[in-house]
Amino acid sequence: MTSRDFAILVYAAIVSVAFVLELLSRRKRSRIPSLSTLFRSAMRTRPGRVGLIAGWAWLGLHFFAR
Amino acid sequence: MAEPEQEITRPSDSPVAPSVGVGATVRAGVREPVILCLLLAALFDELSGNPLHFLVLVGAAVALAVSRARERVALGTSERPVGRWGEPSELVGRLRNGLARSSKPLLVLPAIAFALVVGWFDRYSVPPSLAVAGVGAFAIAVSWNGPLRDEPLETVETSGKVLWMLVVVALAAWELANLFQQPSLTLNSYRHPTISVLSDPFLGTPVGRMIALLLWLRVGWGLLKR
Repeated sequence: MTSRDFAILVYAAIVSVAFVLELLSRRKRSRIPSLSTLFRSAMRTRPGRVGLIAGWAWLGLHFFAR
Repeated sequence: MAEPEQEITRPSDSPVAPSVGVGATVRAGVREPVILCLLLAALFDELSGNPLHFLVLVGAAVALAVSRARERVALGTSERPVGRWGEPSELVGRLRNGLARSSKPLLVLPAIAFALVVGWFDRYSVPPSLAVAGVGAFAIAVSWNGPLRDEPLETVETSGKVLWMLVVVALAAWELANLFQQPSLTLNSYRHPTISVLSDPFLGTPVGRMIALLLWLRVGWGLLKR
């Protein structure tokens, strides 16, 4: 396995864990919040709301803009 | 360390925002983890030679610091108010009302047009840079005064938050580990790819950019509605 393969494998593992957490959050009486609920909770204050929106804007700039 | 939150039911700010000095703004800013994260990200972007990204992130961080400093002066406390958003300006208020009332087709059609036109341009050229920065700045302005629609808040258990935080920290740590193994911050590495490097083949095509732009807009709309 090359170092590139290993790097991709770790990314895939992290995304898989996130996917499993999201699935677990859909169960009844789950103590794990869904990503949507988590965002809603984080966005109750202006710093949380604007910080997340700025993070999203930054993603767009990072991938498409210079 | 995040400060405790304070539930405040007053619907709006006082008409005249209190004036705050540079010192009060800096003190408010360094106590707010979100502002520190924005500044840290801005620093890395500047080091990587992305001045437009730096400006957007620093602009958001400074605006937030001024807003927090004003809240601290107005409330006489350093606690973070929840549900106290203030009244938007007339223009932003109209835009917020328009977005809140818009039907899906009314939003989907401009989004598709945006993705088709912006994705057609070369990546990192001036038109997509200005278009994406404009949409980002617009979203920040619209989000400033709270959610577009009032929805009940759900309680989130700390243990659940911690699990998601671990995922985010792991992703950020692995991304940084790969970034620092590049020859330099501005030179990509095939052996230690960051997410950007891995996405390059997909985003290098117009169709890939159009799909990614649509996805980006969809996520942004989802956040604005929260």
